[in-house]
Amino acid sequence: MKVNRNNYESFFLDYHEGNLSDALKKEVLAFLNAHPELKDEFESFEIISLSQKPVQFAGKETLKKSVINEFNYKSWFVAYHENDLNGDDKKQVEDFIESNPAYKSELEILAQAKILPDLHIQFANKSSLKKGGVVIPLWIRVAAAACLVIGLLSFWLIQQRPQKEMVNTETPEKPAALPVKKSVIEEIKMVAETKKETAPGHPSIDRSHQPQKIKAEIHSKENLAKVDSVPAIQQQNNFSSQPLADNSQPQTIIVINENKSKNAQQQQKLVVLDDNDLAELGLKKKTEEESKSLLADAVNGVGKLFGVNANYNKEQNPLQAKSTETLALGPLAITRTVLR
Amino acid sequence: MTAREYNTCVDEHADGLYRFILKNMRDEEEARDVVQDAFEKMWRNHENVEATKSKSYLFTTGYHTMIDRIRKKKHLSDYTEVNEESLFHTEQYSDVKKVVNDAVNLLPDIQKAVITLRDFEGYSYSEIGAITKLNESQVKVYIYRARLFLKEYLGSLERVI
Repeated sequence: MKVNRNNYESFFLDYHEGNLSDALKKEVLAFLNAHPELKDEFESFEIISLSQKPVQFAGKETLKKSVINEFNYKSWFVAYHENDLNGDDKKQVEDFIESNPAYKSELEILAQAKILPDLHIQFANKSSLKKGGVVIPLWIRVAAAACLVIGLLSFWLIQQRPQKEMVNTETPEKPAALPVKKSVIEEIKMVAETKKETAPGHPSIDRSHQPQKIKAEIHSKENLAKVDSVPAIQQQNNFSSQPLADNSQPQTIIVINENKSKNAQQQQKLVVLDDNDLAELGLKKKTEEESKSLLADAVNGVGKLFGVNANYNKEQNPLQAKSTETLALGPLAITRTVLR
Repeated sequence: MTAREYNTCVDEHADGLYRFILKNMRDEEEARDVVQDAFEKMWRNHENVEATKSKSYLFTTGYHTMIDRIRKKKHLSDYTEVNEESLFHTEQYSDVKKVVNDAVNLLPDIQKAVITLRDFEGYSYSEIGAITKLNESQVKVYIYRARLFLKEYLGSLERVI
């Protein structure tokens, strides 16, 4: 095919695209020489070509997955602290921080962005949420409450019996011999020691620490009465006597630290043990405060057991030489004033 | 679930549930009511609840009871972007924990709930999803956004200081 004015355009295009053979190229050039007015058009085909300069997508890194970079590091940091990363990814974060120390503070701040529960905040009334248990009929609850009231009242009244009254009931028929005190102490010691030794395999008791556990049985030459539970004696307002033996026989009453009774020793056959004597026996007298506290705790504890608000309180008035005791059971309160 | 198991559940989870609800509602009386309500619901349904799943049951019930109550009081702010103004603050703090606790209160309700479950109870994304009826990805996104907000809050504080 020869180049002519009707088909030269396609030859020009093929020439620039390199689709012509050498012979055709020579023919195209010969045609141009013959028609110089078409030279501009032929050259214009050279301009129409796309630039070969590469265009790059700037945010290519942001599209990548599993690689930390400055565009996605925040999510990686959160994941790092949430423990969502595996070992390799954690290493990536650490390497990223090493190579970009400017981001280190952000990672550190993120570590603090966690809230901790305040363990002091607790649900106040958990027992109200609980269910089940044994259903106690109302009449049993009323009966239990009544028993509790009677029991506590009786205990309180017995505990508060005037001291003189107790002394009088135990007045011996025969006068006591004063020197008996020394022998009584010796006997108490001896009985306690004997008990300690004759208990095989039983751990020894340190009397200095647990005086309440020592029980002394006294059998003096004068048929001393059995004195049971010395500490129990101590708890009764600095005074006590426990006649447990046959009443028909003369009895020795041990009185602990009761000054009034010293004057009556001649008539009442009393053995008076003062603080020194008690110390010698490894015993210690309970103070009034301790006794009061013990009683208050006991009343309170029993009250709780039955679901009743029970309190005991004792107030001393040294000026008027009297004490006021109050026993409260729920809405009921009994007050008693004792002159000393 | 037996009565004994239920009572054990009270001992073990009442405090945690109360703290979670209180943190989100910021009202002690309301929080107590929600806890009582959740336990009542569990007791009514105790024969169908396994002891091993009691905690999850409790938190799910408690969470939805809480959401209902919040919706009654105000329109629940479902996921919304954090108000930028909340990032500006001039209070002087000395305790980072207190700052974070204050900042959590600025989060949208749903973010606050999921991050509280995560931090207080250590729940996984799927567990939180089960409680809040969200899918795992949503939970993850909420937690991430909440963390970033807290980070920004703390960061802005450092700049102020």
